[in-house]
This record gives sequence, structure tokens and C-alpha cells, in this order.
Amino acid sequence: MAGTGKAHLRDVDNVLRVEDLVVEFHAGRNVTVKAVSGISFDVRRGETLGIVGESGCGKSTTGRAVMQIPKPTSGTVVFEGRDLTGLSSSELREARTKVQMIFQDPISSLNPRRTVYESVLEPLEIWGRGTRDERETLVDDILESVGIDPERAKESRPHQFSGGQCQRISIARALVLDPTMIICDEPVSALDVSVQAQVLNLLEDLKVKYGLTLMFIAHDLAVVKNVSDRVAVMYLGKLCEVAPSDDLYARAAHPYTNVLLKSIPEPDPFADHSVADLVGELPSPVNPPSGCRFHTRCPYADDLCVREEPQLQPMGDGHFVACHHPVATPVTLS
Amino acid sequence: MPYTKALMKSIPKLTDPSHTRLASIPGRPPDLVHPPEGCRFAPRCAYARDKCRQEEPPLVQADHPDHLYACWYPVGSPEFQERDAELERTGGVAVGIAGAS
Repeated sequence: MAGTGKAHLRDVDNVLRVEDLVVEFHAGRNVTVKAVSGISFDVRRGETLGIVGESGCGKSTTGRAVMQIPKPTSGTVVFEGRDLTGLSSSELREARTKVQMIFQDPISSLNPRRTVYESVLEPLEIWGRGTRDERETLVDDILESVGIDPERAKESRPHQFSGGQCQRISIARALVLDPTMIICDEPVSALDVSVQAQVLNLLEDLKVKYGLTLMFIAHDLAVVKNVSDRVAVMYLGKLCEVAPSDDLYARAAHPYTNVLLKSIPEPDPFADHSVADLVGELPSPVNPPSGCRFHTRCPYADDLCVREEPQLQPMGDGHFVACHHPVATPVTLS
Repeated sequence: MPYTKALMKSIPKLTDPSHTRLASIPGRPPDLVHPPEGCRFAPRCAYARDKCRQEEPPLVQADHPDHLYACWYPVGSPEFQERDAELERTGGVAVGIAGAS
């Protein structure tokens, strides 16, 4: 896995183009955590790019690096034609109004001491958008469009709403500045299945209504498939596979993607559980394996995989895989 | 019962194409200070009838051993199937659990 390589990048109508993104953290003397190690991807206007992988694979770090929190160690993040990594802090502040983010824990991402109405209104006040009446009309409209009663929002603080409602409020807050793109970092992972379905449907509706481009980061493959147009699979700071959503799940070519698909439990007690589990733990990003970073856990790994990092190679129909031994007969979903 | 079925229906499935509209249960969990009379799920249930809004269903044994449920018109009952067919004809707004077995 491991993929570096840029064969999968496209040239037309990109909102975001990230190249050679590296994010490293210093964690003590001579200890560097290599969270993201040279990945490239792009997101077209109106597209939803899903990013999946295990906990610790660098997917959230990737989303945050796009926002420049913190600034990546190296690489470029070109958003609407401007490289965000080269901007001054005031330019960046302004650019960030166009890229918003929503997080996993919707209750703690809202200020507990303010009414949720104030939290949604605040970005407009900070940027001095419109008159007071215009701002309130806009906030009312956006709250209505996410299914929150504006009158109740004026009287209530985050703890008086459920998790699903707080996520709707966070989405409203992300929308008020009329962003081009929203980065959703595990936005439904803390919600029950019915509320999850409501929020996923809402995101699909808002994407159309407000002409949004989305990055959707999550560990649940079925959720990612549902919302995404294109999916990137990450492993230990690298990309292993990038493909149109339906195509990825129809013919997963990377051994890691196949293992991920096989390891999903089904809501059926009689389902076949005999399939092989992923062996071992995610290796340390402080000392990542040589060559393909997945070789320590891959059933197909050989000397080549230990020595040489595979590049993303086209498989046809916009499907790319970074593997020396791509899987010919992918897992079939029952 | 319809609630269990609706929960299972709202889980995204890998076998469905991308951008499949998900079924979700309309409304919100009830006010626990003033819980609804009868079956507590009735106000959100597309299969609820008058009896559901008046009388709380007891927990009863299903055909399968160790399976208990509390519902007047469980999935598969004639009343359930009748309503299911109606929902199918009218576009199946509600819970979207048509085709349940």
C-alpha cells in the first residue's frame, strides 16, 4: 500500500488538489510520528470524496491538514486555485470561511455557555456580513433547512439538544458563511442508526441545495459508500486505493480494502464468520514498515513488497490501486 | 416488530448502490415526562392503529424460541401486511420498511 504516485489526479474542475502531503509530529527527542506520508488527492466541484481506513491511519490528520490545523510538514493544498500552505495568517483566516469542518462529537463542538442560535450567528458577526436583520433571516433559514426550530435555538444551549440535533446545528454553523467545501470528520460515528440515516440524508440534500463539495472521513465503509462519489482508502499515512464509490466496492483490488470489507459484521447471527481477520495491529507510525507499509499484515506480501513502495496504478474506469499484487478475485458482498 | 425492523432498515448497506436514500424513523423519541399512551412507538409507527394508541402491548412469545416482542400488529401479521400494501401503493412515505419479513 503505500501508495505514492499521482496517476489518479484529474485536471478538470477541481475545488481541491492536494499533492505530496506530509504531516509529521514531534513526540519527544528523536521521535517523529509520521501521520501522513506523501499522499495526493483531488476533489471535484460538487463531488463527495470519502476517506476510509482504520483508526490511526491518518485520515483525520489529512482533513485537518487541508484546513491547515496544523500546517502540514510539506506538500501543497491548492483550494480554488490558491495554495493554502503559503498563505499569511490573515489570508488563511479568510480562506477558511470557504472550507468549513464538522466533527465527530457534536455536543462538545458547540459552546456550552451560549445558546445554539448565538453559535450559528457568530461567524456572520465576526465577518460583519449583512445587517443584523439580514444575518438573523439567514440563520433562521439555515436552521430551518437543517430541521432545527430557530425559536427553540434562541432559548436553548447544546445540552438541551440530542446528539443528532447538535450535529444538525454544527452543520448549520458550517453553512452560514456560504462555504464551497465542508470537511466532515466522522460526523455520524456517535449517532444511533436512525439518526445517522437522517443526518446522511440531510447532508445529501444540503449538498444539492447549497452546491457543496464534501470530504467525508469515516471508518464505516457502508456509510462512506452511501455518501461518496469517490473513495480513497488509507493505511498508515498512505493511500492504497482510490476509485469511484460503486466500483471500489464491486472490485476492491487492494488486499487491505478486501480485508476491511470482509471484516464488517453483518446484522445476521447466521452469517458466515469463517473469513480471515486482519492479523496483527496497525504498525507504529513512528517506525513505519519499509516498502509497502501493509506488507507486515498482507497475505500476499513478498520480497518486492518489503523493498519497494508500490505506486498508484490505473485499473480502468477511474480505479487506482497501489499494490504489487492486486487481488484478481475481490471479495463478494452477500 | 416495526421499530426493530425500521432500525435495521436505516443501516446503510454495502450491497446498495452509492447515494441510496436511507430509511429513517420519522420524528423523535417521545417526551419521557409525558410518554404517549398505549404503545410508546405508536406516534412514529406507520403501522399503528387505534388499539396501539390506547393499549400498551404486552411482551409475548414469538414463533422462534427465545424471541419476545411487544407489538399488536407485528411484522408479518395480516394487519401489518395490509398497511404495508397500502404504503407501497401510496409511495410508502413513513418508515419505509416495506418488504419486511
